[in-house]
Amino acid sequence: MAQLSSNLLLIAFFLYFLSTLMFAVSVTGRRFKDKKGIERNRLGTYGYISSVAAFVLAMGYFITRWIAGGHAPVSNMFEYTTFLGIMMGLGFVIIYPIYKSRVLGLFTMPVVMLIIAYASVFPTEIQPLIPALQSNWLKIHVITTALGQGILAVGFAAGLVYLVRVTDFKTKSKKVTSLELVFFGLLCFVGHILLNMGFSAVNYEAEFQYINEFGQEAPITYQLPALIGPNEGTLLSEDRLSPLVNAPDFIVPDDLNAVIWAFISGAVLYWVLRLIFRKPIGGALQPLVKSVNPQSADELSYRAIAIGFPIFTLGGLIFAMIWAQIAWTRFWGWDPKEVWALITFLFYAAYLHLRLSRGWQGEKSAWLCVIGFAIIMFNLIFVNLVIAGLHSYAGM
Amino acid sequence: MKKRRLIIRSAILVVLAIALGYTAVTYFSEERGLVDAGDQAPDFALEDMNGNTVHLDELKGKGVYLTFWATYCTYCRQKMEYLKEYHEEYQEKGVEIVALNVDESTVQVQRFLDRHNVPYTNAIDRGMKVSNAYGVNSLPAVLLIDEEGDVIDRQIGGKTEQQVLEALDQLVPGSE
Amino acid sequence: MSKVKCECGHLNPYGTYLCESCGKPLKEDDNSLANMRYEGVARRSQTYKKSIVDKIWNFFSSVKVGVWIIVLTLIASSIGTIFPQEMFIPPGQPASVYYYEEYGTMGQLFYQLGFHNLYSSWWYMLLVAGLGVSLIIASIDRFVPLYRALKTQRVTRHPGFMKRQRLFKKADTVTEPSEEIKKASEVLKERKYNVREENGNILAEKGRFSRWGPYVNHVGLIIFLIGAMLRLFPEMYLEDHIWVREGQEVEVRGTGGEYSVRNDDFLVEFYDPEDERFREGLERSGGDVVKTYQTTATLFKQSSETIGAGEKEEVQQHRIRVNDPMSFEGFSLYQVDYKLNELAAFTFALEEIDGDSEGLEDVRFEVNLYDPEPSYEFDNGYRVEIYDYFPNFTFNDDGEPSTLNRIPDNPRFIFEVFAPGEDDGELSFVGIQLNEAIEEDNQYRLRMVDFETNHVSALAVRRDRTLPILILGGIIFMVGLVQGSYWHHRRMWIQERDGELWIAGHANKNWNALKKDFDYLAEQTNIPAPNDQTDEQDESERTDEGVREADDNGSTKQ
Repeated sequence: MAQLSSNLLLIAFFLYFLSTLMFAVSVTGRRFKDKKGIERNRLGTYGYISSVAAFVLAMGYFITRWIAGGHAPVSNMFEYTTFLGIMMGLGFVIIYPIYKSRVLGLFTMPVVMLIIAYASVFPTEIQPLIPALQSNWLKIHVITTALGQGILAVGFAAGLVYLVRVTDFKTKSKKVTSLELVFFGLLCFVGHILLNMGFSAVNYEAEFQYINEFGQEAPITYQLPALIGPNEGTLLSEDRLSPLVNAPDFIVPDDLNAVIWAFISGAVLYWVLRLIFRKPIGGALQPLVKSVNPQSADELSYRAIAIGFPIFTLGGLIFAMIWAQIAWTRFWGWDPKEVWALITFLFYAAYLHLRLSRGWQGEKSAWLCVIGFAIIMFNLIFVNLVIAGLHSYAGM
Repeated sequence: MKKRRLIIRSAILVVLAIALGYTAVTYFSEERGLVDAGDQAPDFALEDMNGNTVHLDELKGKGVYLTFWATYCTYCRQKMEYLKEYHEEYQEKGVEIVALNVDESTVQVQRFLDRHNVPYTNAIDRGMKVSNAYGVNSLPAVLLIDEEGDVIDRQIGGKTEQQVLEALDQLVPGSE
Repeated sequence: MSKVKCECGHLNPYGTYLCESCGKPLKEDDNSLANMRYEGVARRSQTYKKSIVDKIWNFFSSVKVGVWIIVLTLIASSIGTIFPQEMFIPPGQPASVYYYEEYGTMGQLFYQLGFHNLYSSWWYMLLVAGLGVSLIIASIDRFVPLYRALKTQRVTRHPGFMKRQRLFKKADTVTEPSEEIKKASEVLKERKYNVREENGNILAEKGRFSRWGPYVNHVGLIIFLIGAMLRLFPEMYLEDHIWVREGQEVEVRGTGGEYSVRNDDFLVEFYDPEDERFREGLERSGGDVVKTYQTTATLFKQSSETIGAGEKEEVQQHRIRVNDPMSFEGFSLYQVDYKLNELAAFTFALEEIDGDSEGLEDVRFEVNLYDPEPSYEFDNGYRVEIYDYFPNFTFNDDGEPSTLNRIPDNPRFIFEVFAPGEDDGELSFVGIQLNEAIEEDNQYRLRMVDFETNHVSALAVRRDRTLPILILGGIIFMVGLVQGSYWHHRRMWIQERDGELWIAGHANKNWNALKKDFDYLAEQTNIPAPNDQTDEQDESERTDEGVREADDNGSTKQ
């Protein structure tokens, strides 16, 4: 069952890839015009069908894994992150029929793939649930939160489409730089995933003995060459890079190390792409979005946020509080993860107020969507892995 | 019209200010004991070390110096020395000293009392029932209960001889 | 501050942008699109700016200020997660040293700025209070005028109003406008529009109730914040915990002696490492993974008001687990912690130091470490007395043997052994891996031959009387949020003017759906779909900001 489950996810992943390709061809086809306008539309439809099929198979993964493990597969980093990707795919499946925007597919599908691929970097074994996680409210809380975040992420994709469409890449400006930073960030993810896949393919492992945050000696295994060593660590494996510096004990050292590698690889990828295109990444993407009406991209991203926000609030705050009341004796405890859910809520609340009452539309609004997505990813990655708390999956 | 609006606005703002102010004062003010000055002292009935029943209700008409202690509490031991000294003098003036041990084993308490020749009433608060009712979280804790059964003060922490004497003086019936 | 009279005869409050009744723009300016926010009515806070009360009112009513408070709360909240809050640092560590030792200078700064208790600091609470006040005042300030405007709106709107709608068209090619309008009215009714007619003109409206969504969710939030505020009062929220040994009955703190709970059994269960499902996962985590923490507990109720007297009555039994508390009369008992194998009893045997201990076989006794018997007598005349007992042995400040607390983590005894017929006993000092004579030439020795242990369970005691308020607030908030987000207020104005057909439309969000409705109308009737005037603008000059006036405070007053 577990094997079937991972196979289904793999097929779903390729369907997302196929969907991306079809949307890409469908969008670029316009440039070599034309006469075959009908065929173009059909490719867009196929892209959509492919994304629906991918969602169905991904749900197959979800259900079979649930059966195999006996609990909803949303209880560790791999499971949650994968599910977030699937939910972003679902967000697209919901929103596409309303707006029929193929460019949105072209931007959303790669992000979905990126999130699912990123998930696979984490341990994929089925793990048993510790007592605090054995709750139906937890399942409801996590599933709803992921759906909300997934739809908010679609808002990010639409915001990105808007920004690429309206920004003038011919001249240097802060806007161009900021947008390039966003692409750099996404490339860091790509780099991180590629590095991890590469090193795990050759079974790279570097073992250390170190002093953990409780002041006790413990072993730790790095999956990537150690630039940052653990607190008072000594390298046990031979022929392995010895770290440049050691991290203080309150940081999860191998995760910090992985983050640094992600930045390095992201920078490399970025410059390679710059050399190929000979212009900013956004500028290279701009021709793809030429056909998009900025007004509808703007409305689309706003709609995605307006749909996603209540779901996120319900899952990330209200259901979360119900679960916390039952499992942790109080509905709110200022745990970092809780605080960051609150921050996400406050951020999107500010977005809605600015948009509705103060006329922040178009570019400003699109930037807010990008920042909102950054907060969600920060909460997922940084707060889970680096800041240890009740929700931390780091130890699992 | 304009005046009415001003009144409504002022009223709303005043209500908000009072609600928030009251909350702030309550929250940031010094923590009040569960049982504190002005409260009626919760009644209890415990068997003392000599097998007699200490019933707070029956001590009405006398001032009661109710002290919570443990053998491992250094300040409690100091206080015990002062109380030993003045116990008889104040008993004649109508002040009863009642010491409650916070749930240590009988052997321990008995041996401790024998060793130190403690003359006043001592009982063990089995299960911390009285301590809980009086909200005692740290030792030594003393409650001064007047002849009416009302708490007149709650004293936490070590005290000097002088302070213990002042507390006992307060308890003498009709001293206020 | 006089009222403004519109040419249609309606008296509008000072500061009105679009006439409440006919919609005529009351302030002539360029031909930009109408500002439809709050229907162009005068927001009350903008009207009078004289007294200090008005100034405070206006401050809190402003969305700008509201957003600032949200942003400041957001930033403050995030700062608090840089390092752990004081409540998450290991217990027993003084915060003053912990932050410096763990996080260096930054940690020291974090501590000195008081960020280690950020969420209960006065300024953070002030921010949240400001948010609450802003919510209340801004809602009052907007709700009333919006309600009036939507209630009093007329079907026939002023040409100036129509022209300035984002969706607008003038059609002179329609042959029989009034017939078409009638037909349109039927079509729109089918599409669940609420259609009003006046002199042959129509106003079709749908989803107006979604306009109240923001106010409903603000009311929910206000109720929630009131609940959170009440939680600061000790009467409303109780937080305590109790440790209960197996077999022991302990009063539930905070119930005033009314309830007590007995720990019948405590259990920690681990996952089976051989379980096929989790084998790989368990190998990775390396250690045992706990499956269940469970205290089987019995609750008792005390009848008498006098502490220490009265009868007890069994109320209920429950298996308390993480995620499954025991609840009674507003109280809940949660499984939060445990201690395995706490020492409970020792068994001692008496033996001769130099000799074969003959006749001493029966001199064995068990000592309960929580409350030992003072004296143990045996048939053969031997007697052992406990001279003194220290459950958690230490030397006190005066250098005397003493105990740290009541918990028998390191129990030591001074025993006095009386041989048959002797009046003088032998003293010996006995503890774990320790057995020494206090006087020299002792003849007897007490040897520990057995011990018993107990599990101890920690239960958190909670009573939160604010929960019903918080739940109510949460529900209202969600209802309002859904109402405002998933429904949209759409309006269509279709009127006949000098033989021409004037069509205009407005949606508070989701223009896409409104446009689709217009397209449908165009299919069913001869009424053409209106143009999106922002698209036209877009072609001439691309704006970053969209089209609306951005200023919340300023644009309507002079």
